[in-house]
Amino acid sequence: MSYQPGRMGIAEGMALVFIMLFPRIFLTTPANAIAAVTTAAWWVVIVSGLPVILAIFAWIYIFRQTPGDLFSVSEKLLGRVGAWLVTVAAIMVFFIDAALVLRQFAENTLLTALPQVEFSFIVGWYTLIAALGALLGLEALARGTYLLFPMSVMGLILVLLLLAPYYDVYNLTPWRGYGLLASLQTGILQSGINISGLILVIVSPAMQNIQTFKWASIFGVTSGLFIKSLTLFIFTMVFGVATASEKTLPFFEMSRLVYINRYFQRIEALFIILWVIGGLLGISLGLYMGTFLITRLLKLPALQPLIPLSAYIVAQMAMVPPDIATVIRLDNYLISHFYTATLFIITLVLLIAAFVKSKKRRLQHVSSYDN
Amino acid sequence: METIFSKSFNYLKKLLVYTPSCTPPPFVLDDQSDQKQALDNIHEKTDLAGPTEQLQILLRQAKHAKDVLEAISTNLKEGHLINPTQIKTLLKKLEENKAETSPVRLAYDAASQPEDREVSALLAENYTILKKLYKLPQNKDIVIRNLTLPLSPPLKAIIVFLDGMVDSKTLNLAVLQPLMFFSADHIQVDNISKTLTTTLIEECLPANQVNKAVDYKSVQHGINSGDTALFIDGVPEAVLINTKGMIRRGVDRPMTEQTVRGSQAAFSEGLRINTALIRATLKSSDLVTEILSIGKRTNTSCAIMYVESLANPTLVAEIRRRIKGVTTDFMGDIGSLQQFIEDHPGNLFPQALSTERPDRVAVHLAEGRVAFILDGIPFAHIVPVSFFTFFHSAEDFSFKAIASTGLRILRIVAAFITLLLPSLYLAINYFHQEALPTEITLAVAGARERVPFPAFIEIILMEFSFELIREGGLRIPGVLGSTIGIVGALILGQAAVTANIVSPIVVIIIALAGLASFAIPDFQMALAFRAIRFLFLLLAAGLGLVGVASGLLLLVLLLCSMKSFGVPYMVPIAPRVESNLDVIVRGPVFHQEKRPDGLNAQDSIRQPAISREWELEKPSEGQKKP
Repeated sequence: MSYQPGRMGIAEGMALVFIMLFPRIFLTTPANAIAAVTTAAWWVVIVSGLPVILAIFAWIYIFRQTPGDLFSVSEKLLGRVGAWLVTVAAIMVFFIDAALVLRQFAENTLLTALPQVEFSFIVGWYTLIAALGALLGLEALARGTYLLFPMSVMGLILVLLLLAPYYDVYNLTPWRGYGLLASLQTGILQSGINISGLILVIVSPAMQNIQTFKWASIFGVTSGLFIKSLTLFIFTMVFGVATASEKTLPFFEMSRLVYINRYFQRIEALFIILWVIGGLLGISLGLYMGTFLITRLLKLPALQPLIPLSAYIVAQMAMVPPDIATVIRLDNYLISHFYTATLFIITLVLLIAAFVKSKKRRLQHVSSYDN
Repeated sequence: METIFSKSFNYLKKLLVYTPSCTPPPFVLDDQSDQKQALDNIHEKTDLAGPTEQLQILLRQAKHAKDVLEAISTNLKEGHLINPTQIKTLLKKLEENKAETSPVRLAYDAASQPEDREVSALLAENYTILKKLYKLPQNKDIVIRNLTLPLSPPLKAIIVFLDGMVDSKTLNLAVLQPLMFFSADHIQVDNISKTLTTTLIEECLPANQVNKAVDYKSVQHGINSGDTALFIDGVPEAVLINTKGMIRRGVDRPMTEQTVRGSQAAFSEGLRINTALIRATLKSSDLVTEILSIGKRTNTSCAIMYVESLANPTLVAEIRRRIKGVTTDFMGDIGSLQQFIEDHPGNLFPQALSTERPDRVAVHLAEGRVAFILDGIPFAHIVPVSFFTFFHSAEDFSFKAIASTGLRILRIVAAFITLLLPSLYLAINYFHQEALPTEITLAVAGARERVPFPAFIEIILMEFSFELIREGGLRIPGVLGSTIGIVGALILGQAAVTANIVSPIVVIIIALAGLASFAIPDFQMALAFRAIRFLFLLLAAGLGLVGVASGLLLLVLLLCSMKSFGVPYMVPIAPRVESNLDVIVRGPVFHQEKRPDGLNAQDSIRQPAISREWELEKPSEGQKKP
């Protein structure tokens, strides 16, 4: 049985990882990717996911040497100060990411669904729903995501398929974008966007075993990357590089193009349900993870009382940037600098520490055997 | 002395001044009565209550001793005993009573409530306790019948029963007749002790269930359940004889779970009738029926039924623990019991399957679930269940797999229509008009042109009217209910459209949503969907599809966080476990090899992979191929 408390199976784990990567499809990120690497965007997404998959393997090694979660492993390998640094960095990643995604979804809502509504009200509303979701717990979030994500994916794929009349394969050429090396370089730099693929590292004791952690993380990341890549592929085919890089809301624009017959010609409104659910789940999970890490860091007995406070902080952070352009700029900057650096530094440092510790242990074992 | 002035003054006064009528003051329940009663009780219990009770007990003992001494004196003639065995018996009785007059026992008896006391050897004492227990002489239900057992010496006895709860024929033939006419043939004269009751039970009383009771809790429970209690002078225990015979409704057709195919029997109010109905369907010696008592005052019997070799013992123990852990004075309904023991009593969604069909209970017991039934209630509750169980109907297994799968999908769609259709209309009408084709938009706008209310008020008005008709139709007795429901709906709908209070499209939407709610097989589940629909309407009116999506997400997360007796509510989909082709899509019965994984039954295999074994065998007869 995979549902026992504190024991999540591959399905739930995969859903958690997927939903952290999925919501950005509905934001400006695909347009930014096309602006950065033009026609290579669809495969550069996969390149940007490879470091995360490597990081997952590194974490499997770390967990084999030192079982536990992010905080306890860091504490054992790097000491208390090291653990604090690692955990604070992770908290910042989750809270900043939740705040930026929240702001972008709120702005999208104003643009597409509720133009008359006050901006702060939408931010407050989304925060409230995300906080309520986080209050219901990780188990509910994981299962809810698992239940809803097939519908979200099917909805997305349906839109992509219905755009078939607008496909233009020539829009995908030249496939190397600005050049193979430049594209690869951008892919590696952008790998921080997938840092949430390591979400299970934080709650690894809740997974059944290391194998479950491994396959849930890998399936989650690969399926997320596949959907992202597919979306970018179709987006590029439909709009071409020049137009696509200018679209603020690629998914909305794609769904607007769908025309089946005169009775089904404006279905973009119906897809609001899809992206609101996807976005809210992502924000809720980010909020939960950030709060969970605070609880671990301060060794607090309960998580729930912190959630309203964390939600308030995230909402306030989301409202700090003056406009959506600043938010998008900030998001890009943080992805390519802070998130990527955090991903590489934390994983590498802990991997080396685990390696050194295991070597020391082996040496001690050999010396005690010799004596 | 009255003068003309005083007379005039009095006359005018009488004419003008209001004089209240001489009617007695109306009854007003005093707010202080509880406190006063409590104080009275304290005074009664503290000061002299204990010693008075002790003295009364002693007086009754003394009176009994005096009677015995008088009997001995009559038997003594010129220094010789006429009937030595009778004297021996009387002395034995005195010895039995001696134990009850010890200071410790006296103090305990005096301080105890009648139901906490033990059965006395003294008949008069038992009579007094029974009078206190059943509030005699005000209470006319209880019958205390004096009789004399024709032994040597003759023994006084009483039988106690509740009028209407016992079968008079059984009482006369299986209790009174053997006791009054035949006991002398069976009972030895010197058997006046505890062995007397054993002999009576074994040789004299032909009732099918006869038990001994030494305390008044058991006596009370037996009498309240329809047993007859027999008290014999000199015997410190009572005999409870099964004479249950209250008139009950027989096995009838199901009222709320009618089916085209399958069994047509439904539960009745009798607990034993219900357990027997299940046992008749599931004829297995593994089927266990445990009986527990709930309610401090009512002692209502509750039966827990499970197949021992299938049900998870931890689950059974947990249900037993929860039912035993309920402390209340009255338990009148199984729905109340459910709220006492379920995981999320504040949640609208049902966490136990309520059914009136024994065949349905049997199917679930065979899957490893547990059922509980309350005495006097014609419903059984089955636990644990998942969300999807409520969309299964009793006759699903009678139909072919494709047909039942289609019906199940229809029910799920109906649930979504109930929940979302009015709110989607509202959201699209207010915020996302572009989602509709131009022709439909124009039609809706045309229909709404003359309606003076906003769409939200329109919908709420119609929803309210629909719920009113439904509730009214339910309460109006007999065939009138459905007739008034249909007529009311037709007239109201037509009149509302003609009067331009609502638009025709709203009538269609509400009628469709209402009709869809009746397609959900479980009443509680339908009720939950109907109630949550109003929240969705508010969300749609406030935030359009964004509100609907937010509500939908929270609803799904809430359902995913729930558990029914330790089993996740959304099993087998979230968490994903082996579904065994019986969730929404139903496979053929012969392909359902395993029991539901979520239940962790002791034996997970229901049937072998090839259950149609006859297919492997060669037919013995029939047309041979050329």
